[in-house]
Amino acid sequence: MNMRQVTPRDPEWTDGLNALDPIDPPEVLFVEGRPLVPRKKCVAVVGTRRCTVTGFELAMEFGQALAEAGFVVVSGLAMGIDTAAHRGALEAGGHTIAVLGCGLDVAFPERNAILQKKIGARGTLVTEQSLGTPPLAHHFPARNRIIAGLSHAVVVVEGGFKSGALITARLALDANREVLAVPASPRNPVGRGPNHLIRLGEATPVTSPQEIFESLELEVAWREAPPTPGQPDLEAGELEVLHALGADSVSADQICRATGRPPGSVALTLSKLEIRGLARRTRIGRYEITRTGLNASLAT
Amino acid sequence: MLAKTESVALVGSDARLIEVEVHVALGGLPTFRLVGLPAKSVVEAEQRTRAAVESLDHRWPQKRITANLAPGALRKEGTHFDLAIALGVLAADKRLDGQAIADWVCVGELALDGSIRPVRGVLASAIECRRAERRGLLCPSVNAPEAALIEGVETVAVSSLREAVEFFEGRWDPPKVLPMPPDVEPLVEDLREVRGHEGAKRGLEIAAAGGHNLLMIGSPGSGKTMLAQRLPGILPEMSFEESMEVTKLYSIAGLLGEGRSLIRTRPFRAPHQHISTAGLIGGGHGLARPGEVSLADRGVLFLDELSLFRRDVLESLRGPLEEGVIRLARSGGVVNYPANFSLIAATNPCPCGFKEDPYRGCTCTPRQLRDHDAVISGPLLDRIDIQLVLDRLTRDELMGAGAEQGDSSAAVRERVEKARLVQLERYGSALKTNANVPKRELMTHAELTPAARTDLADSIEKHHLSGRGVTRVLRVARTIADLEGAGSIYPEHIADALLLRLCAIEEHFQAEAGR
Repeated sequence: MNMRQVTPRDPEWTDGLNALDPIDPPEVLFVEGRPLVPRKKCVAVVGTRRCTVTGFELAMEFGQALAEAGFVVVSGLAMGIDTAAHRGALEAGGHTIAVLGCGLDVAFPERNAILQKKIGARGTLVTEQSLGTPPLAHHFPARNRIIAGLSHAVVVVEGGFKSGALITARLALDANREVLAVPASPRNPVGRGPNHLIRLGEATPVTSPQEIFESLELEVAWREAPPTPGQPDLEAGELEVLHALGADSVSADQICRATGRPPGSVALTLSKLEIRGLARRTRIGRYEITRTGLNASLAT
Repeated sequence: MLAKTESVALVGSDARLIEVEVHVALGGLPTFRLVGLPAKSVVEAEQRTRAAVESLDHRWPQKRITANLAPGALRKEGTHFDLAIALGVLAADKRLDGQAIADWVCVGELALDGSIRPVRGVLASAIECRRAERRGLLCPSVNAPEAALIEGVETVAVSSLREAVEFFEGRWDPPKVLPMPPDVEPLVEDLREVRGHEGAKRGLEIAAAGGHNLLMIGSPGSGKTMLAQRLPGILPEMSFEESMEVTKLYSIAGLLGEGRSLIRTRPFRAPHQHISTAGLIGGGHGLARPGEVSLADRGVLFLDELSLFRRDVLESLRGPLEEGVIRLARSGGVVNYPANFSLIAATNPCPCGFKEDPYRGCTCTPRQLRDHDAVISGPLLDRIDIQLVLDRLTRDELMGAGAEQGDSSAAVRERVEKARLVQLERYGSALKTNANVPKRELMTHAELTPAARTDLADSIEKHHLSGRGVTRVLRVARTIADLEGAGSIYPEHIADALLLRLCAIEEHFQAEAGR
């Protein structure tokens, strides 16, 4: 265990935390794992615990790309988007910082205990709370200001109106950080937060890692992985069904109605699309488009 | 002096003959003793019998009386022993000819004024009389039409003890009893009345054709109950044997109602979420009474709001789902009830009901969602082959000026019956359907075309289908092929079955956990 206290007098104390000045900088941080890094190198990816599968995938993709480009991914180790961001960074073999709302020795959320251990070993765990402190509700807004402080920019992937992600974004704005947000379907309930930020002009819309780098005016040698070569060409019927699938999940019935095709043929097409990874069945049995599906649909 | 007659004891869904012996001793103190493991309701027969006998202006014998119900080791419950005991006392007291009552089976509860009240299980009693080749059955006139269904058993309908006595004295001709009529086909909800929901209607038809259990997922007000109520109407018409089985059970449960008709419509039972295990599968003291699973026999058991049922209660459904009967052991002995039903479970997509709803956001916490999923993916899911997702209807669909009404229940039932016929020929038993034949038997008949085989193999890999999941897909695909009269399973059957496959909940969990 490499647990230590970091105070403003330590060399490890980063510039970002001081810049939190107007809004109550922390006096001491408890840190485990790799040393903290300067703010310029850190990007926070935050969002709701109650994310959609799409949101989860996006956050993971962002985490991965940021890590590959040499950035440190900062997030809050909550379920959902936070988990995805951390996991993406770890999978790319990068550094990630998790800011906790409890003591370093407290596993919270429980389902992320393993991830927490991994980050302690391969990344950094940071908290303001002393050992043994339970995760109390009021710790989390305070944690969010540290996320904002540590990072150069904050990317909001998904979040409702009153989500912690929006609090983080607000704190980041107060601390003069860049705020980026992923625009969402107006019918996605957890897309309201980012959409709201974009509408108020407080956040820059981004839809891919490339755009994150562009809007932060960062010169990085990161290239989006080329789409899987030889995407099997789609029949007219398949394309029609693919177009009927949106980011919002739809039922087979709705696809029949939208395309005017008989249920039998829609079923066959859906199952083909699903097998090829272009569509996917949701938790309750509706269908939505996947990333690959979106690419294929855009390519044609 | 000793007199003998017979009555019955109800054991599960069957009646068993009970010998009723009454002995009036020559000496001793005037007492009445009832032996042969009688429950409280049987012991109380003494008071009713005493008053009823005296209503005939016959003095209750002031001697030592012993009534014995044999076999003595079987626990007896119910009030229907009154009539046999009263006749036995009269015969033992030489008021009646002992020979006359000896080969009759008597059931009926006595009122204090000597009239006879209806009892439970008369149909089962008549069946037992025929099996044991007894001469006839003396039963309350209200219940007599039940007994008259059974040919070869003379049914005597009596409405008072006096009539019974006069019958045995040859002074009274019992009225002719007509067997109870089949119930008038009630206004079953017709599938045609359901607007939209094309996919769900088709799913319902497939479930009916293959005897599959199904799970419906939909927001509040999406029409889960409405659809479930229409399943009995598209299941094949009940055979006479099925009708008898159900009527017998309802007779034993005392639920035949005033009409007293032969049940020809499949039962639909929708127990409340707070039901106890005993209420659902049957239970009670002594000998267990039938529960909802048995009352839904040959029909539909609808569990609305599945996630609100107690987990242990749902767990108890496993046995009956597996075997079609329920075996209940209580202090009084073990009884069996049939419990051959189609299960429809319905649930909201999440506790608040609006997950993935296009017009309203879901407000559930992750923990709530997890708990909800844990219940639906719990004990029952092994036995459910089909999952239907219901859309909330749009305003246009609700108004839907009778646009496309689809097929009527009668038309769907015709197709279902045809598919069942195919299965009957294949499996050689009306009780075997694609949903419940053993896996090995299914496999020998679930021949896939090469293209279908490839599709299935691909989807196994893609969706991480478990062994059980594959079997379920095959069962449903077999049914779809049967509905279309296809010999082997084609790719579109597999695709349709995949569309109806059970919850992606596990898949979803894996996605969330990042795999």
